Amino acid sequence: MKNSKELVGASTALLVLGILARTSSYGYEIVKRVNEEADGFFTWQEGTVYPVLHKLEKDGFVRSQWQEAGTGRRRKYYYITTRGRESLAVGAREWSGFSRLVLRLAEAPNG
Amino acid sequence: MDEKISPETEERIRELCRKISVAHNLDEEIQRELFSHMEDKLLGYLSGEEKLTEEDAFVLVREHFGDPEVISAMLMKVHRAEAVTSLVRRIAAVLVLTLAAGLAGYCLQLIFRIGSLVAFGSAGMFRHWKESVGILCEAALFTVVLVHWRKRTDREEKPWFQTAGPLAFVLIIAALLCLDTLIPFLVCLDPAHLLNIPPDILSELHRGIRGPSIGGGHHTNPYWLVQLILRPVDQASYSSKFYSFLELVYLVFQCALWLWWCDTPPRSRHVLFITTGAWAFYSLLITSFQPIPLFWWDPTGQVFFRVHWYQTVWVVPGWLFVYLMLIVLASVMYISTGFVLSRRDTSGMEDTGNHISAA
Repeated sequence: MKNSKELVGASTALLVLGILARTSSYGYEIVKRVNEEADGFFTWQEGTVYPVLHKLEKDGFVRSQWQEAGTGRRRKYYYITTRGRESLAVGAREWSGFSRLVLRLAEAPNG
Repeated sequence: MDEKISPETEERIRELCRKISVAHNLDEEIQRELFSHMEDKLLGYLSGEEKLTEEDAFVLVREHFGDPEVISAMLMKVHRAEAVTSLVRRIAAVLVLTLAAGLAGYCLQLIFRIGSLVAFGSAGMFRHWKESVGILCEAALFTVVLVHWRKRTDREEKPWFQTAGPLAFVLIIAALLCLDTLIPFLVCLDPAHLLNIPPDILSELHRGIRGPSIGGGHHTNPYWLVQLILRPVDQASYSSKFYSFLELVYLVFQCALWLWWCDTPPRSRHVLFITTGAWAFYSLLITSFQPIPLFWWDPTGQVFFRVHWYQTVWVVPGWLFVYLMLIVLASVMYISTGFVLSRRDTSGMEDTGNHISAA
């Protein structure tokens, strides 16, 4: 469904920022955590998280650093920046407001 | 996690990662990051409760990762400036090589002509043979160097064109263009001039450089169409039909090699379009070049400083035809290559495959 794809596309950056706001992480782990949180609510092609991460980094919402992961392998960790936290807060407020509006209109009785 | 994946599977993952290319200066890091993702995912499958073979795990990893072309196009949008710079560098590199190979071909023919003059007393001996060898050597040099560069970039090495600054490119191209206004015209000249021997006939050059004359008698022979494709200096220098045909074949081959060189992942129609456009622009530019002033001896033994313009420069329809034919050739190459290689438009790669499963 085109709408649901657009919804996922628009929310991916916020989901990633949300995960990173809890703790620094790398691509695979971010995807894993989002999947756990989503609990099958949506599916995504995992590779598409990287363009999102790179865009966030370009925009200054996250920064990255190669370091050793718990597995002993070197992974590119992403850290949320202050700007990223601010953007997450603004984005979450907008989503929440929009979601409330949609629910209110959808649940309103006909006529 | 201390598991390891087999070298074969590792190579298959690397192969998949190599399909995701954005810009030469970013690819190494991006591919390393994507490799680590797929490695983690594969190891996750292998250490799961239900045991999977590496082959099955790889299929699942690839499935969940998404279409490499789509991801590549998405990354390209993010790193647009770097991607454009990377393509420009590739085009500049192939331009340098085309000019250098062309000059090498002309130098070889010049050496042949002088050698022929010294050995046989005439520069015109085995002329067609020398012309053919010259162009074949040019094509061989062009191909060998380009393949060598391609292998180096595939091995993630950094050839000179990936590190050279814009000024270096400008200087190299300007120097080669300057040489290109001189050396081909030396080939046109009778080597007797170069060896300071008073020539029997000076008019060879004037007779030769006629260029495509639309009002002349060329219409009667389809050969004039082939001639129209060639640079006027080539028309003047190489009179044989066989050479003209060979030059035309090389021109098509050259454009195909430009496309092959620039058509790196993410493979899209945009890249093909820009590359054929650049090739056509280069060809038009080089066709428009006039010889720089040359000193030479005339039959009377006096040194002349003269600017020799093509006669064709005054025959506007002739030039327009040369340009038109080159543009037609470039268009045919672009359309046919895009069709044969089934390259997609990057704007059609917006479907990421992400969707909500349940509401």
